Amino acid sequence: MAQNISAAPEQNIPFWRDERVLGVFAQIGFIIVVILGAKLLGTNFASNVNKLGESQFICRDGSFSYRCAYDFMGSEAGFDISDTALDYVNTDSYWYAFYMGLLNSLKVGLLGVILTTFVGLFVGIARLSSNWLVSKIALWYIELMRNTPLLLQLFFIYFGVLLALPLIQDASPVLGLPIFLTNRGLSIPAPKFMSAAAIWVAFLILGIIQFQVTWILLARQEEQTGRATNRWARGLIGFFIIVIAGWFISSSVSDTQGLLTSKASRIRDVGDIEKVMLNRTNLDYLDEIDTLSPEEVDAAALKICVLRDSASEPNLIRQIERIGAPYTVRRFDRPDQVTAAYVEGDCELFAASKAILAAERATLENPSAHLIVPVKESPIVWSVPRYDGTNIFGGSKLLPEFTALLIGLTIFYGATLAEIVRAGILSVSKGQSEAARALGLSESQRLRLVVLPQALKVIIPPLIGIFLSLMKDTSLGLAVGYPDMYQVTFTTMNQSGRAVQGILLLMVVYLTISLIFSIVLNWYNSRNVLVER
Amino acid sequence: MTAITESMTQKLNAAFEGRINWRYFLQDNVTGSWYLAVWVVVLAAATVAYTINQMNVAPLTTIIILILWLVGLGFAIANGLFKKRTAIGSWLKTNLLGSVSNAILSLLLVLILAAAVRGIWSWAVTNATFDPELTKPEFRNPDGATWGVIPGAWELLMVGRLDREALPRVQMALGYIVVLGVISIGANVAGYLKKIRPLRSILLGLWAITPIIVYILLAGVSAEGDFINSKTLLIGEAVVVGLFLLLWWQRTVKFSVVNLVIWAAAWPVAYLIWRAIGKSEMFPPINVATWGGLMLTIIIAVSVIILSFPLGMVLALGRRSEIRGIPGWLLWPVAAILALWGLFVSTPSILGDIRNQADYVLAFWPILILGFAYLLQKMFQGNVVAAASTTFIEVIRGAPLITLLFMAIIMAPFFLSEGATLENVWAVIIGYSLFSSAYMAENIRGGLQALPKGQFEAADSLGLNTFQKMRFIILPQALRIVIPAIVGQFIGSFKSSSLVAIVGLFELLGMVAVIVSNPQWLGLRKELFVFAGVIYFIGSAVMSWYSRRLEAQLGVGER
Amino acid sequence: MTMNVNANEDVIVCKDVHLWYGEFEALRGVSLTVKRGDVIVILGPSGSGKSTFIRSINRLEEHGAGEIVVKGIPLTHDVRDIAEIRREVGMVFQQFNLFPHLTVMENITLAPINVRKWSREKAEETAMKWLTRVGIPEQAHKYPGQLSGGQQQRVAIARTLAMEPEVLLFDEPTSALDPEMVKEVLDVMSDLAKEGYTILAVTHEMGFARGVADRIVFMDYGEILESDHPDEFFDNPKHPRLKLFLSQILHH
Repeated sequence: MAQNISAAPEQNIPFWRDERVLGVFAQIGFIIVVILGAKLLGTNFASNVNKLGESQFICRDGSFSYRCAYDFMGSEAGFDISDTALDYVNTDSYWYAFYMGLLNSLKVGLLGVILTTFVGLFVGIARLSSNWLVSKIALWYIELMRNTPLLLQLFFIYFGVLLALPLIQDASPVLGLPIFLTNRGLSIPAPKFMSAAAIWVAFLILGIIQFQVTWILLARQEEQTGRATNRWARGLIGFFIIVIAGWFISSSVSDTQGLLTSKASRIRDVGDIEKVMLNRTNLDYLDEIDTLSPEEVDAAALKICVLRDSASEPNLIRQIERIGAPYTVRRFDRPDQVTAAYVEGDCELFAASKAILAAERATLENPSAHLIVPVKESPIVWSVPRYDGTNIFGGSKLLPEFTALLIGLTIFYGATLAEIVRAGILSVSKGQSEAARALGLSESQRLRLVVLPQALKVIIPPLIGIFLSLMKDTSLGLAVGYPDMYQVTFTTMNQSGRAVQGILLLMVVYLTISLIFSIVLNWYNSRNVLVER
Repeated sequence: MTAITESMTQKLNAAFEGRINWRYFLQDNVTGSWYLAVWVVVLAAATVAYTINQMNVAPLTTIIILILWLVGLGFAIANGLFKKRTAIGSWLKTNLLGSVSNAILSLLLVLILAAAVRGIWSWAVTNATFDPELTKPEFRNPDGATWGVIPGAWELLMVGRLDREALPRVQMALGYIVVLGVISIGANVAGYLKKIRPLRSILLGLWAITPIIVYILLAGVSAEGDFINSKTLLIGEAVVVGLFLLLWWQRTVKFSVVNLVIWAAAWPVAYLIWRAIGKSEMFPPINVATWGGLMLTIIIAVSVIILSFPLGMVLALGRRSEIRGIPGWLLWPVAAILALWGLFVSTPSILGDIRNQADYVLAFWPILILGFAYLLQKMFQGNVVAAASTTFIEVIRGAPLITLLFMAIIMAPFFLSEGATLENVWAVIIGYSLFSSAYMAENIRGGLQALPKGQFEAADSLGLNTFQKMRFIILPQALRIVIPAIVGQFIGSFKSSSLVAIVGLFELLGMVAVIVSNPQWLGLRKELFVFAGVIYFIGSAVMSWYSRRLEAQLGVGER
Repeated sequence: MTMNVNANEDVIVCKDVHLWYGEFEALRGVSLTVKRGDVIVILGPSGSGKSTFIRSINRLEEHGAGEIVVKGIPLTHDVRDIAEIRREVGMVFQQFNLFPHLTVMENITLAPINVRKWSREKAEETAMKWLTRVGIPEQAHKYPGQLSGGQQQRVAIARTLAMEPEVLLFDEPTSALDPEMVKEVLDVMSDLAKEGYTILAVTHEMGFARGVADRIVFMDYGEILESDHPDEFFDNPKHPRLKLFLSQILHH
């Protein structure tokens, strides 16, 4: 290339005065210093490791090699994790336990990022409110968060607030909603996904594709005819038609849920329950059940047994409640316990997936006397927490550790983000707004088309930095005992005695996360630079 | 009834005649858009519901607030409609009662605030006990705070488990700093600093040796060892004289006999004073593991900022360095030779002893050398100094602080030479300083980037060498720009020093955990958290206020 | 001041100088010889490479090919020669580039004390001499921020002169000034030209170019297209692009 044409006729410059040679000397000198330093530390490390009896780097076959540093991760973890996203038992490997921890960290981190965005936007806009009180409250919130340590806030939320909540025995719904807040965590209604959900999601994707296609086609049509069409409405109508149709199709197609019941119960279908109940109560209509005394209702109630926290429960209950039949539910941890109760006669119906039921029916004395009734399933059932006086069932349960970490990170980083949002909006000069008004743009157009795009350019780069900090600070879960990646690794290090490997592993994962964030940031910046030109 | 209403309406209409257009008023405040209407309705409903609720809980305050609100509304209306401008009316109208939604929102917020203040007040004051003797669980009021724990555990909160005989030394250190601080601020405010040059030098000198004095007081000097250790003396002397010669060669100090003598004498004199203090046993060593409480918090925060500053500066200059890189024709062959050597020596030995699939990948690690060479050439033009600084900064910034703290405590022993030990406090301070220096480097780099390119060019064209350019032109300006950021970072390390509680040091938050496990103060977490929060809040708020003032001052300064 | 040695000596010799910014060739073979005492004005549209050219003479830009020799010293990768040339060549910038954290006096004495190794007294004495010459001795202890643009540029000239260079490079010294301050700077430049300094100036001041310059050089697209005596240059331009350029700047 052209640059390589050498400069000037080569004079004989003594090498100790040639800036190119001096540069290389400086570089090499620097490398030598670094290598010497590394060598000193490395020698110390090697000798210290030797003193520790080489146990850190022992291989399966008992030999010693640095290559085997991570072999121990394959062995049984032996500790429990209080909250996991996937099934985990303490006989799983350290690797798997670490994976569970990583998922927990990502869970807190991603939820934190979403909530922080909302809190930050809300408080940032409140800070700019024309109402003096609102803006001052936002200011004090921001100042309080920014001037006290995150750890103190976490401790305060965890020890001072969450663990000081009512005991589970005194649980009562919050604001009359099916939400329970006790010192064992927060129970909220949550969707449960049945097997039909997979089919329904396919319809969902189909709907989105349809929306896109409609959008593009209509846009082309608009260009050709020059007339505006309502792209939003037509796209959405198509989307909802597909999604709703998909809901019914997927629930009629999938057939994994069932009820185990004896032939004697005369229930051949979920719809038969109504007849059976009318028979039992001697009523003409189940609506008249109020006329019975509570004792009579209790006596007639269907005795249903389920596995704890299974999706089968809300799915069946929803259908039984539609019929209006009285029922009681007992929950067990393992299928064989349910079967035992079923044999005892404590349960009339055992609701679970057909696969489990078939296996359990095979264990019964006379399998042919029992049958498995199919239960219609919805793709998603809404599981609502219920309180029975001693315990809370159903819904989704957030541990106090998780809740404390999530709330702590959210309110702390929400305050930081609020300042950035405020600065971003203020950074758009008044002239821009005036120009927009002068052009006759409406207030919402002004915000949407002029102010926001410019403010976002200022907001997004520090925003990505905040998200990265939040991700890193999920490691504070250790302080409140939430089993995030950090805590799991820490337990691993304590149990196996392999501190160096554990720390290195953590570093690698955190650096990967931060690398991803910087790639996103660079991508955003470079794209923005192009747009500005 | 109807007649009365009608006459009222008429009277109202007459009063507002020509002053208000109800249609515009409604459009502006309620019906302007559907979301405004929904907002006003929801807000109104919530406010009414909450007001009724508060009427039952605290009728008196609620009624007072309602009356005040109505009076304020009257003022605002008077201000807006009847041109009766009062200061309070104008203020209320612009800030609290400007529109229907704002007026309702203000009422709701005042009610909520009143309820919150009432709750806090009853916990913190009305139902609280203040006697340090009455902190045991059986004397407590469950609905109120037990503030007695704070005076009761005062010394623990302040200095942790430090030997109480060493308290006077802590007080001396504190006294020294306070006196010096008061003198400095006083002299600055009175304007003596600019008038009397020597005073400024003396104060600067005293500040410069403060860390050493505080170290002597709080950690002490050991009496062990010889009075004169010729090896230490000679090595130190060589370093000092070498530094002098380097600076002289780079023309940043002048060479003269007097200068040389001062430099050469500095080390032996300092060393002898040090040994003399040790031998006199005036300040025998204190076990630093007993440091704790607020004292430890401050020690960590200050040491970290002092240590991370020079390191951060070196890293920033390294990252921005424009030393010529290793040229491609030199880099590639070297990388290729190293990679080949690895492939021929290391790879076969690993492949010969395969245990799992991962080993197949692992065996070809020498290819990574080429990858590094490519990155070095592509991103840094072969500049190893910049590459190393950048890597260090980015790696440290990518990891959470507690990783570094654990690393310092767990891994430091692995890297020490035989027989050497390192107290956890020092390990944590070193790890924390490394962490902080990466952020410091980025701050300083920001300052360097903020300098116009012309400053570098002017210095070059005047013939200043790199050292002189940095010393006289670039750093003085860059550092001035980054002072607010550095104060901000100091606040950060003051707050984040609480993390050392996780690794088992008993700074302020760590002490809280210790105190609440004491039967006398069992479970009094909230009170102590509030106390710690107040300390952190005051410390940080004062410093950030100062930093903002500084920023404003520098902004209008000499530029 | 008299420059009596070898009045006809070549002070700056540039032969076929090329300079690239990445793929972009900013200078495409510039050759120019400057004799002692010459005053040369470089004209050209923006982006023509004229600033790049004079900046490459004291190594603020590194030329990729060709030869630059200043006072017999070739400008190469030799660090000693670069330092030597920078001592002999002074430069005045468009944006003044005074050091804002130093007083006017400190600005001027910094380089003589640290580079020339003068004593503080001698440096300050010289500084006062030059400040008097540029007409602002009373401003010596102010900070640059307290001066007007024209005064700042005169301080920058004094700072350059205090190093006693033989060659002065002016890079659009009046472009950043308010119109009423241009004259005070041009007056100083004219005086320096009369005193026999070798001057290379990039400027748009046609009056200065016509009245003071010994030679005017026209550059465009990184090349010297025409080089002539001022009268000939303005009255009888030959190159079509120079004609176009002159018509654009003169007929307003």
